[in-house]
Amino acid sequence: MERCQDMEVYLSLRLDGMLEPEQEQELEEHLALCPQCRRLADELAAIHSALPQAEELEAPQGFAQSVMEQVAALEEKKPKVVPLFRRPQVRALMGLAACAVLCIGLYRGGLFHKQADGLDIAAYQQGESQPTQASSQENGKEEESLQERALTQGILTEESSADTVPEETTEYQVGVNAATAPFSAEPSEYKVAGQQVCAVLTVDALPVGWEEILGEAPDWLEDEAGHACLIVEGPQLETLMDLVQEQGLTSSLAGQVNQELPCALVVLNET
Amino acid sequence: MTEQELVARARAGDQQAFEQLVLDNQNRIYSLAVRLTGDREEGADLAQEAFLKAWQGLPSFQGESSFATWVYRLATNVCIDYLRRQKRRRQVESEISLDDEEAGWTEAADLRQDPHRQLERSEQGRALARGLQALPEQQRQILVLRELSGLSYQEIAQKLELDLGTVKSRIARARLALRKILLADGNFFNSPPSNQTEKPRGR
Repeated sequence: MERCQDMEVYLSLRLDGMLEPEQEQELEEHLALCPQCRRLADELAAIHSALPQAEELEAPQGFAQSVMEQVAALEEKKPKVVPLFRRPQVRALMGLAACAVLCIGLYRGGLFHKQADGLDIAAYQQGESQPTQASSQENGKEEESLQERALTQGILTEESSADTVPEETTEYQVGVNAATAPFSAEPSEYKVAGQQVCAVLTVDALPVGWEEILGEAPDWLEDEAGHACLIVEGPQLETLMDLVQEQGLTSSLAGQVNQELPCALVVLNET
Repeated sequence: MTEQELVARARAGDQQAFEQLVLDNQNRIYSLAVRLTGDREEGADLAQEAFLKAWQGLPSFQGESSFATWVYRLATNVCIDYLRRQKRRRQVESEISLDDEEAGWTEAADLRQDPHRQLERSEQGRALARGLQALPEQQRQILVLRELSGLSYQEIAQKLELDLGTVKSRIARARLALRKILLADGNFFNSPPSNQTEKPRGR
C-alpha cells in the first residue's frame, strides 16, 4: 500500500515527463503487478489529456466593453511624443517671443523715426566689417544691442578707470545728444570700409559747411553697404556733429569718439 | 479576419481590432483568472488587467507565439502576482490550511450556464469544470498552472515560491483529488470521450 502511494506521485510525474529513468523502471515493475495502480494510471492520463477542454466560464456581460473603456482612457492619458518645437506651449511661447521682438522693434523704430524724420540709418556692428543697412524695424534691434554693448562698456569704464561715464552714454549711442555726449578713452572696435574706427557717425546728408572741416575733396571711400564714407579724426567728427546738430539734420552715432583714434563718417544720401 | 491581421491592426492603434481580440479570448482568460483566484469578481478584474497589459505590450509583441498564448501567459502572471500578494496578506492562515485536502468548495449554482451553450459542450468538459471548481484552492491553482498555463515544475516552484518537492507532491495530490471528485461526479469516466483532438498545452 505504501508502495502504491509512492507510485501515485510517479504516475503524476510521468504525465509531465518528470520521471527519472530508474523511477520509470520501478513504476513499470509495480504496474505489472498492481491492477489498481494500472487503473489509476489510465484515469489520471484521461484527466490529463481532457483538462485543456474543461468548459470555460463565460466572461461577465460587458467585459470587453469595460476593457475597451479602460484602453480608451489609457490612450487619452498617454502623453504624445511631440518634438519640443512642435509642442503647442513652445509654439505659443515662440509666437509670443516673436511678437515681443516685433513690438520692441516697432517701438524703437517708431522712436527712431520720430527723431530721425523717417530716415534709414545704417548701423554698424562692433567688430564686424559688414555694416547693416536694414529696415527701421531691424535698426531698432541693432540699436538695442549697441546700447547694451555701450552699457557694458560704460560699466567697465567706471570700474576700471578714473574716467567716469555719465548715464547719458547710452542715449548718446542712439545719436540724439551728440553734442553733449562725453567721450570715453576706451577704444572701440568698429570697422568701416575695412578700417578700424572708434566711432561711426551716420548722416542722411552732409551739413552745410562740411568742406571747411573735411576739405574740398576728401578721400571718399565706399562702405560695405555701398554708402559713401570717410575716415576722419576724432576732433573733425566732433565738429561735424556740432554742425549736424545746429542744422537739425538726422544723424546717428555708434561707438565713442576718441580724440586720438580714427572715426568714420557715413553718408546715406550723397547729393 | 485572422488573429494575425487583428493583431497587426491593433498594434497600429486600431481599438476595434483589439476589441475583437478581447472578445475572442475573454472566456478563456476569465476562466483562467477565476480558477486561479477562486473568485469571480477578482477574476474579472484580473482578466481585464491582463487585457490592458496586452494592449500596452502590443508594440513589443513580436508574434513569436499566437496572441491567444501570449495573453494567456500575461493573465497567468497577473494572477500569480495577485496570489503572491494574497499569500503575504494571509501568511498565517495559509500556513494552517497549506495542505488542507478538504474539498467543500462548491459554487454549483454559480456555474450554471446558458442552456443552449451547455448542450453544445461535452459532458466531460463540464464535469472537468465542476471538478476544478471543487478542488481545494491551492490544488486547483497548481493544477491550472501546470495543465492549462503549461508552466514547468521549475517555473511553478519559482513563481509560487515553493520547493520542487512540494510542487511535485502537490500536483500529484491535486490530480488524485480531481480524479476522486470526477469519480463521484460520475459524468467524466462514464460518458464517451469528448472531442479528444488535444489542444496544445499552455495555450
